[in-house]
Amino acid sequence: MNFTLSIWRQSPGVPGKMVEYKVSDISAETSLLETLDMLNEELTLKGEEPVAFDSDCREGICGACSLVVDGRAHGPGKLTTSCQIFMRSFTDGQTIHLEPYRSAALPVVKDLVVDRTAFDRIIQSGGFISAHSGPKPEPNSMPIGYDELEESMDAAACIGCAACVAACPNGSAMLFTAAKIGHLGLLPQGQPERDQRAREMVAKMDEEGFGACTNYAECQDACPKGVSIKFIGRMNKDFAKAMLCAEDDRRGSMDVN
Amino acid sequence: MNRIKQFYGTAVGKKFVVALSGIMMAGFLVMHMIGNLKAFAGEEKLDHYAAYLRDIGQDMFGHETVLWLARIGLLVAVLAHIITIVLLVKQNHKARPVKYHIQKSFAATFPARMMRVSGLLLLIFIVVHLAQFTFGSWLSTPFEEGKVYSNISQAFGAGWLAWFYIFMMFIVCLHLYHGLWSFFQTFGIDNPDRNKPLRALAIVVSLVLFIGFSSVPFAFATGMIGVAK
Repeated sequence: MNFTLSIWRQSPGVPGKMVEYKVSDISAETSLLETLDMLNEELTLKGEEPVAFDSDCREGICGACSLVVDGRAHGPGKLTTSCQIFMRSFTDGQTIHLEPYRSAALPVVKDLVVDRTAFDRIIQSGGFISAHSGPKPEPNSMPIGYDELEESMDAAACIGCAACVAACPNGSAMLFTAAKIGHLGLLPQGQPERDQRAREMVAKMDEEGFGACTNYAECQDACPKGVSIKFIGRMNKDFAKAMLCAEDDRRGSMDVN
Repeated sequence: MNRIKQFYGTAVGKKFVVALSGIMMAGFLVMHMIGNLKAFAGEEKLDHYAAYLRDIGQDMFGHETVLWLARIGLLVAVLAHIITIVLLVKQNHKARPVKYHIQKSFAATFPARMMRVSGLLLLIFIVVHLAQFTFGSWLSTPFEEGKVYSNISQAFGAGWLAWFYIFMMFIVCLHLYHGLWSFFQTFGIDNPDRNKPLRALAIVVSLVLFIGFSSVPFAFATGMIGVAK
């Protein structure tokens, strides 16, 4: 199969542009990232700068790959990552557009690579539980309902790839943040910091420069792990409760004069 | 107070304000439509109803007090809705400064994508509508305070204005469909069990409002009802 790849090329500090490359004799079983590897070999032999792109496991579980293929985060199909896109998904001779994620909070580092450390900072602000570091507790001492457990794991399936941000016309990270808040908030271990977590993570999300949700549900459609937007509703409830109902000044006095 | 300021300072907090003010306006629309349908009961009934709106609660609070409280409440909701949306749109534009070369939409519904356009049209419509039937100072159609039936009869009898109103009611319907469902989603009321019924509810409410509202200008424009010329 032959393709024209239209790829966003950008070096640090220089405005980028789309550049076209021809690739030929590609088998249908080749993955999109392997096609990029082959292109890069050609470019290197020609003495040109290879295309920078992110990948790690290439099994669809690590969340490192991050391409926008023909306007769709991670490319054609549902519940899939960029590394799991194979050339059979395209028609012979077609032009394939490859762009980096577009979000002010996830700036382009080079070509197709974006800086996703904003997600790490959201996690650092509250996406954890406090656990003791002593002997392992007896697992059955903390009963968890089967449905709650499954629901929590549905949210925990988030691999932090940021396709939700890339797909959202508002560049919102609500699905990611909601998945993290939901995953921990559904389990007994997550209860002690539940209010604080909702408050800090939602505030951090805005601080990092992500947009707001307008309920387009594009994030849910692009999510390779099928995280539901129901978690956004859940996060909203948790956040409102933490902000408006939780007591702020627990140890203050109630003076009468 | 500090907490409330912080709450409003976040995108999630602002979403709650938009949802809450939106549902207040939707509630008003339902009452407004029910009131409008009195036009089919005749001139006397409609004008009587219009006068009654000013009299609500007057034995306890005095003439027009409740009406003004409702007006102020509605005005606050409208302003809160618009100001908050402007702030959110600004935040969203800042969050996505560079557009994709290939722009595609995979999940967003047409009404959802039209929210900003339909919202802006509705704002213009509200101004026109108030100028015409509340202040009576626009379009120079004959206007006499308190004579609701004859005022709208003369305005909608002119034809094109009725169709403008009907078109605007379609915009209301479009805006309300996404708005109403979004209310449930923002408040975390929606979940996979209820999504279908709640989506259906949003469609039904929007359609009922569209039909209810449009029937009045339609009936006047086609001469089914109205004052004799």
